[in-house]
Amino acid sequence: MANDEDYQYSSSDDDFPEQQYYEPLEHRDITNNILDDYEYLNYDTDSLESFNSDVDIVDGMAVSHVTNPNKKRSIEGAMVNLKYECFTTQDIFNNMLEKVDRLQPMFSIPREDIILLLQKYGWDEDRLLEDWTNKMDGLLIEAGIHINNEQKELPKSQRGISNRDFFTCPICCEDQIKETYSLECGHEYCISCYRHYIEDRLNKGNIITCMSCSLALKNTDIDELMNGPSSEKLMHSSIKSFVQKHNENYRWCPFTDCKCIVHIQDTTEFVEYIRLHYSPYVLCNESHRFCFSCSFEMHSPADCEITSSWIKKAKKESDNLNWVLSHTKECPKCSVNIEKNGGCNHMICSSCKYEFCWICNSDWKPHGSSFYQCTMYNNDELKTQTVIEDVSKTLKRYTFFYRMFNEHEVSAKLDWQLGQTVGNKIKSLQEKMGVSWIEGQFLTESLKILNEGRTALKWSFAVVFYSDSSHNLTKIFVDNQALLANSVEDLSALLQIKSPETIMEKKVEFYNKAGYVENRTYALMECGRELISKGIVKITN
Amino acid sequence: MIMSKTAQKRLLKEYQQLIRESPPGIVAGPSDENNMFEWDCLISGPPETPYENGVFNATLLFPKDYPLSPPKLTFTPSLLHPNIYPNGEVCISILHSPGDDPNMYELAEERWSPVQSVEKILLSVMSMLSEPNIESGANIDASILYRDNRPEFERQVKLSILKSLGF
Repeated sequence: MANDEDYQYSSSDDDFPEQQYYEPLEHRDITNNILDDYEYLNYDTDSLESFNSDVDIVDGMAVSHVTNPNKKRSIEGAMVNLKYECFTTQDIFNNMLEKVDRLQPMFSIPREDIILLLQKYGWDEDRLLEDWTNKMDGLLIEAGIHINNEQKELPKSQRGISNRDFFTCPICCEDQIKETYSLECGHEYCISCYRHYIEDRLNKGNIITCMSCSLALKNTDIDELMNGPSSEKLMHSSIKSFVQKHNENYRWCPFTDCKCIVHIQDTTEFVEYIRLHYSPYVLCNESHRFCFSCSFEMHSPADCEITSSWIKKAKKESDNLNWVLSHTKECPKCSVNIEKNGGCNHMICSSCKYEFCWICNSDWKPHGSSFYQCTMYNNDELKTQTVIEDVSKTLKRYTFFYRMFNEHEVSAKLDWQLGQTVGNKIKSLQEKMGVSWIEGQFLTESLKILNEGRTALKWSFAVVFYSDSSHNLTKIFVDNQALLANSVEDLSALLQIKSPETIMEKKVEFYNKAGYVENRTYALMECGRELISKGIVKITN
Repeated sequence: MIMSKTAQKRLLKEYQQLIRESPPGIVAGPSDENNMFEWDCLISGPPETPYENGVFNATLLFPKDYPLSPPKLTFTPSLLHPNIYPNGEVCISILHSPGDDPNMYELAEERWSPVQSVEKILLSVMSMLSEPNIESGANIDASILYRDNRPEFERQVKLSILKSLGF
């Protein structure tokens, strides 16, 4: 990819045979790549200082990095120095327990008490140890572990459940209560009130105290009361509040249902990233890539600022216009309703066999052979419609770009569904063609590259929307965009192939097309960065 | 369902308690005997404060999971006070459950817990009227006026009380 620079801003690529630009990927030694990744992996685990290298974590990393050997160069290339760790809540939970075990010999108090102390100190060992050496007993009273004898003499009672004949609970006002619960403070309430109370507090992630005073319920007390391991729930919600409190260094993965937490020890270097208009992307163990600074999916070539204002605008406009961009379209020739169920924009009507483009509804022929015109918004067309007011002009401009953005988002979702089938394809390749697992990975890799290309394409429309359309660099950017769009559609079409034989036949083509998409994505991102750096992009609302 | 039954029983008990011995300057009870979750309260302004001689009407709205969650207290109409929002909502620590306050500004002991009661809330409101807390103001304008121009603050409060009494 040494000649990357030479053509990244030129739009006349199509005059040359495409083959010329592909690196012969198939020559690369796959095992070498994996070895590379293990090196990378070791480097990563070394940085897990605070979380003594855990086998699970290592496994997770291994899985997540083996599958994307090329990414280092293309996307992380700009930020190889970004050190981060990815944990699951379970990792953090285990780590918390480890911390407790580490502290126990020093404190010589029960484990439960240490958990309470750590909770109080937001799991900050150093601060706890400092305070512990200064005021041992005071700390125990403050954390609600020991009762404060000086304050007032209450009828001391036994911690735990007691059986009573007649007891009126002051909370629910039920009499004839049989089972009650109290701590040493003697504030006694019926067991069902206590249960409701605890259930209510479990999700809040704070220490649960007696309802009347600050004496704390230990994890063992909670489990005894609730008849089950409910304290674990409390620990997990404690993790949540921990992450929220340290939101400078920790981020939840923003992807739906992903439980990963990414930790960056040192965020000072972010300033440099922002200055150069790079975004600090991180990859969680589930292979979700997101921006650490704005918690959004990968949004290059847009930067965080463009992303947030674009999203804000989309929200605002959708309120105004009630965007219902339907997912079906009529065939422009025979008016049959067509649902788009694959990622490619090259549509072939199943009834009349008319080939058209999903975006512009016109014939596919000019798209495929020459230029992908759909990414270019024709400003001249607007000039002819002199009647249209300025406001509706900008709205129309926005509508166009939003539509493009949305189309690619929908396509990306469909690609993801496609991804689900890729696994099956690999399986059938293994079964029918006797292909080894590692050899079948080119499909997964192509899909990943396709996804990234599509995401970049999607966000590039936000960049174009905000940039000065008269500037030359914007034109170059749009050309780059068109090239990427073209190559993405090509790759997407390739991934639609169902028969394993054809797939194996076209393996070289897969490598070539994927490599091309990857290069185009990189070029588009770099071009976008230059566009932003040069101040051609102006955010207006 | 079970919870709302508990709430009903508890509220009834508190109502009975308040009828038997209500603290001076406070009258409270359900506005409709069939709905225990909405109470009307009358609070008289504490003596030796600008609120003296005033009688203030407030509504208490109880959640279905009372007493786990605190009720909401709203003055109708609102009054000029640093800790009362312009819409009449009261902002004091006893009406907040622990955990609502990310800054840990208020002590956990002062917060809502199931052992608190309507009586304690209303007593807290009385003391809030005599000692506004401008550290955590709900009505910023009132807080500033209270801090910087006490006589004008008192004049405005007294004027609104006279107005409410029909003068």
